[in-house]
Amino acid sequence: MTLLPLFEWIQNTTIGTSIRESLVVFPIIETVHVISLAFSIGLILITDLRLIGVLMPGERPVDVTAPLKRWMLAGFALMFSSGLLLFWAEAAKCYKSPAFRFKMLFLLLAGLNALFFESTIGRHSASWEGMIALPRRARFAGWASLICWICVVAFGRWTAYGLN
Amino acid sequence: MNVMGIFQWFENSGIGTSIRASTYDFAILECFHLLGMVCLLGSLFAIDLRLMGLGMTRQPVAKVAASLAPVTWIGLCTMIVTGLLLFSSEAMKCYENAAFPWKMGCLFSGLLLYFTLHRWVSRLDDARIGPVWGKVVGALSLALWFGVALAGRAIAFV
Repeated sequence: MTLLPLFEWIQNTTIGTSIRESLVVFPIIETVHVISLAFSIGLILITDLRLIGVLMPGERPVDVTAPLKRWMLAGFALMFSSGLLLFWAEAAKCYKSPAFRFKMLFLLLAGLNALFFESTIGRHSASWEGMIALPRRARFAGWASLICWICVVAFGRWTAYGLN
Repeated sequence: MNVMGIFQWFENSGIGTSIRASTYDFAILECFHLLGMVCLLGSLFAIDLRLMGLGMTRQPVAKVAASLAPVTWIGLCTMIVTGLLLFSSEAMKCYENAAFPWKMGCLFSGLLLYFTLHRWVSRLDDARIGPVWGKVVGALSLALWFGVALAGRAIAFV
C-alpha cells in the first residue's frame, strides 16, 4: 500500500485543481513563497551566524535575534501557508519527487533543531553576555540550522524543476 | 552594436550555449542564485528595518550595517555571477520578456541607492540620521529590492 492515492486525491480536490490550472493564482502563490522565503530564511541565517560566532560576536545573541523574531515568524507564516497551497496543487508531483522528500526531511530536522535549542540551552541565552565563543551546543545548533535551511532551499528549487 | 546585438552576443557565447545544452547546469545555477538571494535580501532586510527604527534598535545603525555588510556582499557577488550565467543561457528570452526590463530597472536603482544614500546614512551616528532620512532610505531600499525579486520571479511567468 502506498500513499500515492491520498496525494492524488489531495491534488484533485477542487481547490488543488483550480490553483494548478490557474494562469494567475499559481504564479502569485509561488512568488509569495519565494519572496517570503528570502526574507525569513535570510533572518534565520543571521541568527545562525550569530550562534556560530561569525556575526556580531560582541553582542548578546538575544539582542540580535529577539528583535528580528517577529519579522522572521511573519515571513515564515507566509512561506509555510503559500507552500501548503503549492503542495495542495501538486501533491502527486511532490510524492513522486525524491527532491521533495529530501526537502521535507531537512525541514523536519530544521524544526526539531530549533525546538530542541529553544527548549534546552537556548533558554539561557540571555546570560551569554560578552561571550565571543558560545557554548558548543549553541554553535552546533547554529551550524545544524544553517545546513538544514540551505538544503531545504536547494531541494525545494530542485523539486520545482522536476529533475531527479 | 545595438542592444539586441549585446543580448545575441550573450546568447551565442560559448558558456551560454553550454549551459543551455546541459540538463542540470541551469537548475544548479538557480539554486545558488536563490541562496545568494537569501543572503542579500535577509541582510538588507535587517539593515533596512533598523534604518526604519524597527528590528535591532538596541544597536546603532552603523554597527548593524557594518556587521551585516559581508553577508550582503557574499549574496550580491553570488547573485551577479550566477545571474550573468543564467542570463547568457537565455538572453534572447530575456530580450523579449516584459518583466526583464523591470527587474533590471529595480536592480540598477537598488545598486545605485545602496552605494550612495544607503551607504552614507548607514555610516552616520544615530543622532545625525534624524527621524525621517532613515525611514525614507530604508523603505526605498526595501521597496526596490522587493521589486527586483518580484520582477525576477515574473520573468518565468509572463
